[in-house]
Amino acid sequence: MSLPGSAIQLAVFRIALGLQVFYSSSSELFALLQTVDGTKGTKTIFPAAMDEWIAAMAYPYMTVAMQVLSILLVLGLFTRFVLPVLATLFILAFGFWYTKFNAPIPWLYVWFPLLILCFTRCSDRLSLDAQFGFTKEEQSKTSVYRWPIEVVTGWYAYIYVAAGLAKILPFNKGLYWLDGATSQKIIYDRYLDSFFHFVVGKPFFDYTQHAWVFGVLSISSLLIELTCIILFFTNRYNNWIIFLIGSMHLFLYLTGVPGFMQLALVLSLCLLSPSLFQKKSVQETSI
Amino acid sequence: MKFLSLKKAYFRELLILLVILLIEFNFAQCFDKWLPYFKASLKWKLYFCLHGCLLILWFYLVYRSLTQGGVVAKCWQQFKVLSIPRGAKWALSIVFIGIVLTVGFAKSYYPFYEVGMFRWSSSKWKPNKVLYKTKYFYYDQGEPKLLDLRKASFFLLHEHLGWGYTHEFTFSAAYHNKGQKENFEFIQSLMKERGIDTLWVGVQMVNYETGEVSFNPDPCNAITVNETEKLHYGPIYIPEYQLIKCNDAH
Repeated sequence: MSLPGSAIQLAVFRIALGLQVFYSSSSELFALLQTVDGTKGTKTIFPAAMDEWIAAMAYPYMTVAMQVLSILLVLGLFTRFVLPVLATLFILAFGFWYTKFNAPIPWLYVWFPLLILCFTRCSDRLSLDAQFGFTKEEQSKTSVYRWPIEVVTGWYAYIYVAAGLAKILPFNKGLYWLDGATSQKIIYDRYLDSFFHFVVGKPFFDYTQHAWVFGVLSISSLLIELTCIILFFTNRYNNWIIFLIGSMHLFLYLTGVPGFMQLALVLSLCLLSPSLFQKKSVQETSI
Repeated sequence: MKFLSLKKAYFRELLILLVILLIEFNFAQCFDKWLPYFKASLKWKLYFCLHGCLLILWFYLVYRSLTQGGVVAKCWQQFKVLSIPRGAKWALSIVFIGIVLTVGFAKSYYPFYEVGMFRWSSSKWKPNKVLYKTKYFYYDQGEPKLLDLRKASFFLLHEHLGWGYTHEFTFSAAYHNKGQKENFEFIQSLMKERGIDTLWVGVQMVNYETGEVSFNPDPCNAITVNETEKLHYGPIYIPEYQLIKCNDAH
């Protein structure tokens, strides 16, 4: 974490995360969940009284506040004050919605990077704060821009390694999981709601047959997810991991599980080498 | 090297700790299922004791590693000297503990999540050659037009619903809550704003053997399929007027 970093990379991540928060908080899902029962069985660490308070009076204000604050985050204006408020609102509001939406939605993975950004100098570049002189000058010790990127890389690794472990644990179930029936069922069930159907119009082959294809897909996805543990030890294979995870999500996107593509792209920004962004800095300076 | 700048010698120790931890995670996730066997059989009592011993061994190895400069001590040392704000260190520590517990027990308490998407096994599932899907549709100049809710969340493909109708929204409307009247009324009001007054339920089907995809707008067929076929996320809500129309037709 003491490696040299890039203020621009951290700023780009701040902007992308801000856009993701704006996108998530602008969802019409919340209007729908106000009228329907939603799902049950999801739990939060927060007391029920807090959920009741949010349901009774706070949620409309929280939603608007999150939208405004996420725009400020993208612009990099008053970032030091915006981030803690936005992170708190995000964790509380989406905890409330989560009690009515039992699915692995992307916002489960947004709160931590948002929390970590609270402790960073993410508005030193590409921000109005920097333009107006609300922030100190860009640090020459660039490791201050590196550690948040590495922490989010660790978060990225956790997401995929945990997803891989969930598939093989308990071990007796994990052995059955590898036969590919789960992948087959997802692709079979979601076909009529998939991008492939909307664009191509007919299935590529008989999805009730060729179980080996789905077995290969399952084993590949498991290997890709577990491979992300490498991120804890070295940066050397980051581009490969971006490619593999990106391919996996693109495939899922096309087959009817589109929700994670966008978030994977946002988090993947942290796997890119800081040197990519440094080159831009040098070019900008020379111009 | 980054988070863990470890020498090769540490990897064996780390691997042993991780393998034991995985075995214990496995036990933790099966605990509820296995508990009745524990009460009934001596073999299972021994099995539980074995896991207890393994857990004690794991704690002992961690303790030994910490006190004798092993991999745990190395990681702890690296964490302590990290030049990051103290608040971030606290946040990292709390989140790390939360994650280990949720992943280990496979139980999520928001904001801690075990990332268990598609973790279930469908080994006993037997697919039919024909898949039925009940969907809302409307008539446009006498022709039935499907309201593909999930299509709305694809940026380039949406027809009626634009910004804000995210994947989560369409997932909730098309799957989770599709059996509820309130869900139907919500969608209906959205469509009324867009000039579509009446929504019906029809049946879209795909024959995987022939690759043929078709749509049947017959209101009575939709009611029958909705009641008799095993549908993904269960039956859809069918509006009162469709039920009346079908009754009248018979």
